[in-house]
Amino acid sequence: MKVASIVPRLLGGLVVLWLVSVLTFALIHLVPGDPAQVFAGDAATPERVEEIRAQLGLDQPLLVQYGTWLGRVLQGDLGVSLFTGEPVVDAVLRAAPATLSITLLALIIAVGIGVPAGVIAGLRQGTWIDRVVSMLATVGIAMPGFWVGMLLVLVFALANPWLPATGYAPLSDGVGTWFEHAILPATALGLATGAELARHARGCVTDVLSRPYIRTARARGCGPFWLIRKHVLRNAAIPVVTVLGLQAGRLLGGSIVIELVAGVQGLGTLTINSILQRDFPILQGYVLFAAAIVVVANLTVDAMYGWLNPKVRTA
Amino acid sequence: MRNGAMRNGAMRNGAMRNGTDPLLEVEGLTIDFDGAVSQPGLVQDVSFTVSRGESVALIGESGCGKTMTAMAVLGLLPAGFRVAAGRIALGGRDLLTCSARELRAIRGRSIGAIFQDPMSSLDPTMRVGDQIAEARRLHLKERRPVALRRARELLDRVGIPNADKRLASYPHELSGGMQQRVMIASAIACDPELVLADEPTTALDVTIQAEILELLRDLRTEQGIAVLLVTHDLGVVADFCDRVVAMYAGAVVERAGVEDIFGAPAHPYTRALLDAIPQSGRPRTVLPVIPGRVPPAGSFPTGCRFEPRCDHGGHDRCRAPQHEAAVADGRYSRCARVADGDLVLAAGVGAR
Amino acid sequence: MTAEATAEPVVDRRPAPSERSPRRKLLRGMIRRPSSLVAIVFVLVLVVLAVLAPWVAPQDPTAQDLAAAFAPYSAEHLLGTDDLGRDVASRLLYAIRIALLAPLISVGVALVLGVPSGLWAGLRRGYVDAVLSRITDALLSLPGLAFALAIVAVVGPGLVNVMVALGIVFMPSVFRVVRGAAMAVAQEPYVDSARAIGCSTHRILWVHILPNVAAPLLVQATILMGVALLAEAGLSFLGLGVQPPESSWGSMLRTAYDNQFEAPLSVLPPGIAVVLTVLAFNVIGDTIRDVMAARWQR
Repeated sequence: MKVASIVPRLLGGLVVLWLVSVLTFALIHLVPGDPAQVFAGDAATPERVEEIRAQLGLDQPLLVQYGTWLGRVLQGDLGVSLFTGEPVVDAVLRAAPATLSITLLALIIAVGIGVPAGVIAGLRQGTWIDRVVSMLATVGIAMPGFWVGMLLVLVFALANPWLPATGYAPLSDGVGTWFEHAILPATALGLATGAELARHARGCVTDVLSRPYIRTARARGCGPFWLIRKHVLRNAAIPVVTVLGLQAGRLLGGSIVIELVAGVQGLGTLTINSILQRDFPILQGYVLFAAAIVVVANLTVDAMYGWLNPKVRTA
Repeated sequence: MRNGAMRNGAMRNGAMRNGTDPLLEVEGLTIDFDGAVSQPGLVQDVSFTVSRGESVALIGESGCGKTMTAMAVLGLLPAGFRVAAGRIALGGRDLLTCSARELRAIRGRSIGAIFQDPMSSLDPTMRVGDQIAEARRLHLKERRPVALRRARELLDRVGIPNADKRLASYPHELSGGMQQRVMIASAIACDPELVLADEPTTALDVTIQAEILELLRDLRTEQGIAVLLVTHDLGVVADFCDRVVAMYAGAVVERAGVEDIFGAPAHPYTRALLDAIPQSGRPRTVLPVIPGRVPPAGSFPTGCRFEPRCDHGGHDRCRAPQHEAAVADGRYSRCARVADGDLVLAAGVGAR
Repeated sequence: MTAEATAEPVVDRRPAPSERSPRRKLLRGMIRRPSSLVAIVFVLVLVVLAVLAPWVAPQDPTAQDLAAAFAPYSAEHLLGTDDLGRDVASRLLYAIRIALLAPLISVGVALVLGVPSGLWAGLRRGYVDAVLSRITDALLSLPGLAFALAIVAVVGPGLVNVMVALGIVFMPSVFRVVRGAAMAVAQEPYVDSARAIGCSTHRILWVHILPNVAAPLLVQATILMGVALLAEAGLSFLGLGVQPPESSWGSMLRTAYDNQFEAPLSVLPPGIAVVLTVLAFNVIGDTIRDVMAARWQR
């Protein structure tokens, strides 16, 4: 991909992040009533309320507040937790590895199972394999990931002592230990995405197979194997990749509930607690971080798209 | 459905062509559709031959079964369609008894194919050079660099300038005319005996159409490639073809040499097609149009399939099933009235 | 073969397709397919059960009986009892109301926000379109659930709050569908001719644009019903949605999760209820799309 086509995408990503920053900042001011009072809680003394007002700069004009806030954010300062006093960045970075590694494993599972299943179903359109895959995918999309997680824990951890029921082990404990802890939540998380990808991949393959250039290739004497490798997969990969970006957001969102089920102290747990405790700086940190991850994921997808699609590559 | 008269016709057709060497023989080809609704006789009892080096046109409106017939020759009927009866032979070899593997060895090797709308018929993700080289790699087991070298020569051959650079282009970087040249290059990559051209110029500008036809003509004269041209454009036919096979509603209505058919058509449908050609040099009057449309498969009339739209219909003989009958040496018509001498159609292009 | 048809001077236009009302046709297409027929019947049964819950439910869903906590499946308690001895079957039955109403709130909010803005952006284009599209792009690139959580953090937990928040999250997808459809219809020649013969903008909108936007919108809305139910289950599971003593399938799953050592199988009934209902919404949505696609083709 040429540099010229990367720049507008990068700029687009920055615009999105900027809009998210505005939304995130607005969060505090959308709270009904006096934000300082809300943060401090109903039982707080007036002194405490004023202290918080000063701490958050809530006594300044809005635009000034946003400027100061954004300036700090750009320097990597997202403030401190209203509860523990821990810097938000530290809290987010502490919780991020668990969430991200589970999400990434979920993505690998989803792509590794969903895409091949969908491709095979598309190639064998109308056969029993196609029907089974389509049915499983339809059901898979309808299942709440956290419920699947509970069922998996029930079967693989409680009924049979094969895997740990809860908790998370960082990669530094060894890949095997990490995998044992991560596989159940990752499977539960990846299921819906895998099902979605299977459906999409099936549709894309079916569509490609109906294209005139496939007929041309067959008229040239291509056998099934050559046809799939050289023509079908290359063309079907383009639309399949584009939906991966949307799935990044979905996986991050889904991980919030699944972390609770799996007892993982990740970003999801951090966020839920921040909501229940009205710890807005932490929540802001999470929203910004999640948006940044999704923007990066979309940029990666754009790059892959450009690499796969000659029309973009050479345009 | 095959009766004595037609069998007789097919045999005499073979005898008539003595001295020429039949390359493609299609006899009594009948195609059924077995899908949600079963539709027998989508293509019914189609017979024709293409001799080596000859150019034959398959003409008719859309929905007449021309493309279906061409696809049957390639062994690439869409899912649900099936050859129910008849014989297709290439150089004496029966294609209908070939295995899938044997058919693949013939497609792209002995029969090249060119399709309408080159933009969508070329793989958008594959370089032009690789698409031309593909057939050589598959059939001649050439390694990629060797096949690409040959692809370069083929690009020269089909008149694409700057072949070295174009080899690495993607289809969307080329104009429609260039894309069709690439299609032709890929169709002739393995020096086939027969090229099947399905509406090769329909999607192109008029000026480009002429260039592409010129190229096809050169390939015929220089390499002796036979061409089966599927088209609805009679203008193209007059320029390019030796013989014409006209189809209507899944059946062949007339077969004749190109001069014969333009001079004196032997079927009302062919007559009507000729009338619908816009004529240069004549005042622009309203173009005659054949009223009505091709009946959808499954609701063909039991008698003459063209009768409901025919200027000369309504006759008793039109209500009986029509059979292909010889009306002159090497000419066949599926109109009972013409065959009996009851109906004489106006001669000449544009006559009415 | 389409290009061929347009190039031929001899072909007459096909006659206009049969003049049966598209709504009747859609309904027929849906009832003819066994899977969507089952889905439709399932949803209708849910609606009936939701309305009739007080008469159909075997027990009071809130009646506690601590002595009978975690009772197994029996004739008295068809699906057993929960940690407080409440009848699971009755609670499941009453929760249908929330399972149907909660998604309706979200989808309703999404439609109210998304349809006018989508129409405006799609028909007027210009800077309004540019700004709205940018904003919805930004919203779409947020993890949906995180965005909803942020809103919930502002307005506080509670079923209605959560569902309204989800509606805002769904707004971009409705906006996109409506904008795309409106743009496509606006380019059709018949809209130009309607304008040419002096139809008011208002009339063009109601007579020409909306009916054509309705089909893809209906598909999107049905699919969103399922997504909303899944999200409601998740958020109620987290304790942010429905508040006790009310219960939804999601909060019942939370109860089951909290007691998974005592009554491991209690995760099944509410979970299966969610899966079947979402499945029914999705099947209906898919079928509408398929039937519409088949209609558009011919």
